[in-house]
Amino acid sequence: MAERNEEKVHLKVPGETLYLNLVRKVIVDLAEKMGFPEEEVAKIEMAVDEACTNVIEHSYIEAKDIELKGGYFSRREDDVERPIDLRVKVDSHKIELTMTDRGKGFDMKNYEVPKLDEYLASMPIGGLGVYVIKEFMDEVDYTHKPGVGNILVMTKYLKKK
Amino acid sequence: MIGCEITTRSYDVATSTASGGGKLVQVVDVNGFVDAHTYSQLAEVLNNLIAEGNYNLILDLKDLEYISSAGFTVLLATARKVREKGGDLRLVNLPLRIRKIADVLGCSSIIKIFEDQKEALTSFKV
Repeated sequence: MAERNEEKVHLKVPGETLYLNLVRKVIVDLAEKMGFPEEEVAKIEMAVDEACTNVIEHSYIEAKDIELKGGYFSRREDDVERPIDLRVKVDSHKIELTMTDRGKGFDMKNYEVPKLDEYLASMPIGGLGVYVIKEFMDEVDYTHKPGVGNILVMTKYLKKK
Repeated sequence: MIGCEITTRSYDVATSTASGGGKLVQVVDVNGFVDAHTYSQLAEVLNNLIAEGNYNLILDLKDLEYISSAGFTVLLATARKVREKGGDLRLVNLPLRIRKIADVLGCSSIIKIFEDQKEALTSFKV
């Protein structure tokens, strides 16, 4: 594959689950064009989807804000902007996804991922999302910057054959 | 198509027809995507089937485009519920990329996966 200059994409959509499919389609398209194999594209797609879902369902949602609308969680209408803000950088070696939110945050760095076999044996409801993000991406970094918000950076490297 | 479309069919595994009389298996076709926006639809359909006394379930995922961790946990929870009643949940026709994700997450070691519907239906005869 020819060397590729860095390209940047900024995706900003309302922080509602309705928009997850749109976000996934954009990321899958970018990853496929970069030449990631199908299995790796599927992992990137799932990691991004889980990260967006975490922001919508955990970071942005306070108990008082939860509203079940048409069978899915949605925030109540107010004048506070709570978007999915995803910046994507791609070059010939990697895809880097930076997600920023101004919600209450979720400290993924210090979240201890359970042992998968023990976790699945208990057949729980939910909670696999953080495992997916940490295991499916090559690098995951989480920081909180006052005045900016919670910043999650997920990177996947394109392995040369 | 936007979202997830779910249809169910009833099979008698003795005759492989929709008529009753034998061991009945419900086949559930799941099309589209199961994510945080749609997983509750799938959970509702499966919970309703269980509430109606259907404990032998096959999910045909031929036209499934995507399934999130919330979707996988619906499958795991359903498997647990029907096994408590002496039944089982089995999957067929998983697209390869979804099969690989299921393998990595360990779901395929908990839920039986078959290549096609006939094979899955036959497995319920035992």
